[in-house]
Amino acid sequence: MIISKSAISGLLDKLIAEYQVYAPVKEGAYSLFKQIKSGSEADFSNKNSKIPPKGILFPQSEKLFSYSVTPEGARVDECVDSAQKVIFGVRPCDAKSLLLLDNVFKNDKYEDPYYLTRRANTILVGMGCNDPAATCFCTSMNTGPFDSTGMDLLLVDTGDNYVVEAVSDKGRELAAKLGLAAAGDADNAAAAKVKEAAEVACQVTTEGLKAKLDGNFYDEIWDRVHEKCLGCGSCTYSCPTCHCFDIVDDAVDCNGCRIRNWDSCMYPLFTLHGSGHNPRTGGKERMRQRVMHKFKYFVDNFNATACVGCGRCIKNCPVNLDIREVLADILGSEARDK
Amino acid sequence: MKSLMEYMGVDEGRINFAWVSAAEGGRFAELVKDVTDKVKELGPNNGLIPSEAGCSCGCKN
Amino acid sequence: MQKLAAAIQDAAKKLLDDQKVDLVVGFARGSLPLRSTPGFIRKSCDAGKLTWDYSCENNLANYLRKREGKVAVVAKGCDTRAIVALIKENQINRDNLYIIGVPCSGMIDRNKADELLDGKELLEVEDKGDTLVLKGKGFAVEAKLADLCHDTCKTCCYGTPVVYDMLIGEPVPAKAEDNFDDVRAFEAKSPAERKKMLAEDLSKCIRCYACRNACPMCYCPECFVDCSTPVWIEKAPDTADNMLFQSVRVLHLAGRCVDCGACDRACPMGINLRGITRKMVKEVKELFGYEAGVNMEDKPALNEFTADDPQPFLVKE
Repeated sequence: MIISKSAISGLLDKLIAEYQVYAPVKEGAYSLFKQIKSGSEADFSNKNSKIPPKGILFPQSEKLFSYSVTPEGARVDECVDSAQKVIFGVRPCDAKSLLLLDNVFKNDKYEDPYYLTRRANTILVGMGCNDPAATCFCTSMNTGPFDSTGMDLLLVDTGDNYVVEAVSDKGRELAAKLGLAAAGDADNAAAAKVKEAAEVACQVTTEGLKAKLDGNFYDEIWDRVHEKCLGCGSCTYSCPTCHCFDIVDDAVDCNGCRIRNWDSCMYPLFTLHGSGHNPRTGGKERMRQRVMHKFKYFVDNFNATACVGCGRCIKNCPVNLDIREVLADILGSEARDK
Repeated sequence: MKSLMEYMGVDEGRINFAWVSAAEGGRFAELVKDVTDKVKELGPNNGLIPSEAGCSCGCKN
Repeated sequence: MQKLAAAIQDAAKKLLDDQKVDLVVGFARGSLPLRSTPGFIRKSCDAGKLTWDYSCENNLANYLRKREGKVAVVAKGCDTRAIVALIKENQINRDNLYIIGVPCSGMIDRNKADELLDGKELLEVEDKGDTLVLKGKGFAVEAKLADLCHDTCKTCCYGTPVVYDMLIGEPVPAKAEDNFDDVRAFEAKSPAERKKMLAEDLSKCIRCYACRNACPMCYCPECFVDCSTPVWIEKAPDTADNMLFQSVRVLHLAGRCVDCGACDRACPMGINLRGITRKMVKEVKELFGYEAGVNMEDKPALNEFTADDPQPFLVKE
C-alpha cells in the first residue's frame, strides 16, 4: 500500500474524526508526541521525539481511581481510559519498547488494567528510520531502523510517498478502512532500497555483558561509573523502557483519589524507607541499580534487555554520561568480585 | 519574596510583610485591618496560575 | 584552546606526581559534538584525558562539596564563584582545594546550535577561531562563536576566575557591567503576560530535577519537593506546581545564586530558568549591593544585618 506525503495531513484528519490521534509535534528544535486536533500539526522531520511516546499508554501522572466515604459507605470510581487511540509515526525503537513494557504490566503475577486497556485500544502506525542518528544503537539492542515488531503498520519514506506495510490484523483493518491504494512494484522496490541504505553506524557490544553483570555487583567499577552523575531523572524520564512508578493518595476529608506517577531509581527518595533508612545510600548504588535493572534483572525476569538503543539518555544527560561508554567500561573491567 | 512573586505574576499588593513587636498590639491590629482591606479590594486570588483542575477532590487530576 | 588543554594536563600531572592532590576534577572529551564531560583523574598517566574548549559548560563546583582528601579542580569564572560561595557556607574546605583557574570567554549553548540547524543532526564541528562550522549529513553551517554562546556567558563579568592557585591562559578583558536588560524587559510586561509566559514555559517541565541537581548551590539533604509530610508540591508535573517548585528553588537561592546558568544548561526541555533566577540576583544586587561568590571577603547578604538595610518589601505605613 502507499500514501502520498501530501495526503498525510488529510489522512490524519480522517483518523482524528474517529480516534485520539498522537503524532510528533514540533516544539522549537525538538519534537514531542502530542494529541493533535488537526493533521497539519504533525511534523515528521525530527529523527525522534525528545521524550518517548510511552507516556500515552503509561502517563507520567495518572489517576487510578477516586473514592469517597459517606455515611452510606465507601464509593470507588475507577478511571480506566478506554478511548480509541492511534499513535502515528512511532519509531521502531519505541514500538519495541512497548513490547518490553507489556512484560511488566502483564505477567503471571499481575495484570494492570490501566495500561492494558489503553494498549488494547491503541493502534501503532510506525515510521521507519531512513537516516538513524549518530546516537542510535538499536541494531545492538535487538531491533533496527525498519524493525516492524510491535507495530500495526509500518511506513517507509520513499521521498514523495510512504510505502505502507501491514504488520498485524489491526493494521490491515485500519488500512482497509482508510482505503489505501496498493503500491506498485516500483514503489516496493524503492522502499526496499531505502531499507537497505539505512545504516546504524553505532554498535554497542553486549556479548558477555549479562554474564559480567551476574558476577560484578561488588566490583569497584561501580565506584567510578557514577562519579559524574548528578542524580537527576532526565535519563529515566526520557527512556522508553523505564517504568518504575510511585503511588500516592491525594485526599481532602473523605474524598480522595489514588495517583500513579513516574518515579526514578536515580532519586534518593525512590528507596527511602519510612524508618529513615535508605538501602541505596548513594549515587553508586543508584547507578548500579539502573544498569543492572536494564541489562541483568530484566533479562533474568523476561529474557530481554530493557534498552532499545534510542539514544535519548545520551542526548539528554546534562553531564554527557553516555550509557554506551558505561557498558564498554563494564565489559572491559577485570572481574574482581569480592 | 514579594518582588519575586510579583515578578512571576502574583497580583501586586497581595503579599505583605511587616515588622511588629509583640508589645505593639494596637499596631498589629491596624496592619491586619489594612492588609485585609487591601486584599478584599483585590478580590479572590487565582494562585500563580489556575490548576489544571478537573477532579472533585481537588487533586488536579 | 589546545595550548590551554596541554597546560591543564601538565598542571594536573604535576599535582598528582607531587602528591599534592589525590584527585583532579576537570573536563574530558565528551561523546557528542559540542560536548565535554566532567572527568575525574586520579593517576598522572590519565592526565592526558583532560581537555579544554568551548564545550566545558558544566559547573564543576558541584563535585567539590564535602570531599575527603586533597582535590584539584579545573575552574572557569563561574565555577570559582560557586566555589567561593560554597567555601563561605562551609561546604568546601579551601585548604584541601587546589584551584586551576582557566579564564573563559563563553561556553557554547547546544540548544542554540540545534535551533540554528532546526533539528537536523549535528555530527561534526570545525573550529575556525571566531566561527564554528557545524556539519552534518549534507549541510555545513558557519556560525559565529559569539552567537552560539550561552546567554549567561554574554552577561557574565567574571570570566576570569575570582580565586585560584594557578591561572592558565590570559585573563579575559573586562566587560561592561551586567545591566539586567533581560529581567527589565520581562518586568515591563503586565503581570498577566508574565504569568502566561512563565506558565507556558514551565508547562514543559518533566520534573527530572536536573536544574536542582546541576546547581552547585542546591545541596539540602532533603529537598522540599521530596518532603511527604507535608506534601508541599505534588509529584505530578502540573504547571502550577512546576511554578511553585521554581519559585521556591529561586527563593532558596536568593543571595546565593552565582548566575552560572547550570540549571538552564541542564534542563533537557530547554526551559528558560535563568529568566527567574536572575530576577533574584538583580534584586539582591540592587538592594544590598551584593553579588554571590565574587570575592572571599564580602559577607553573604543573608548572613549580615545592618540597621540601614533597605526594607522596601515591608508594608508601607
